[in-house]
Amino acid sequence: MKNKVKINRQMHEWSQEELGRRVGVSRQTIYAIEQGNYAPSAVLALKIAAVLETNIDQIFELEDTDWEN
Amino acid sequence: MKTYFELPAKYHLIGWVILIIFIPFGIASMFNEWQIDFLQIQVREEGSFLKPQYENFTNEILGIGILVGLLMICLARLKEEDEFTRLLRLKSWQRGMTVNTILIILSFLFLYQDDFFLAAMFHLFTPLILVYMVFRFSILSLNRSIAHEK
Repeated sequence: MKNKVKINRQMHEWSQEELGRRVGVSRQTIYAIEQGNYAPSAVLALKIAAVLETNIDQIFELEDTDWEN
Repeated sequence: MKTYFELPAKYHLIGWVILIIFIPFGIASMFNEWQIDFLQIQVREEGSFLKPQYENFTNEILGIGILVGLLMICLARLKEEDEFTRLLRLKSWQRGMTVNTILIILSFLFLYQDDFFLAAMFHLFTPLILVYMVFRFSILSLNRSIAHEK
């Protein structure tokens, strides 16, 4: 799953810690999401979209490989 | 909905304190046959070679103490525990148990008699030790990557 968390976070001029604090997760988690190493739960993805004041599909996007089992 | 079991973060420190106390006595008990006299208890009316009349429960108590300490440090939350660190923890159990099983298979293949029994005794503790080591290594690697990004 591709995401634009880093771009949206930088638009708000927030650090990873700041975004993590706002959604209630650690900096490590925000880093892992931005690097594409971790696909967040639906709840966390919705929280991230909410604090970044955008829709979830503007931040997270499925890739072709996500449809493979 | 909480579907996982974990202990409060303070149990990490408590677990380490228990280990620091119990491990030296455990080593002394295992290699020097150190025992606490009042833990010598009669367990049978009559004893035989394989079933002695008296048992000393020092090593049982030390073994349980070490396992409880290890379990505490494996199950204690991080100060900043969230869904990603829980996933890392879950993967650590999976990887730790896999490595432990490989070690047991190697013990079956290459160790015999006394050596095998010594290894088997260590394998009572290695699952939790490996799980903890893999988890801490995962967190350390992640923190290094973040520091490198700065």
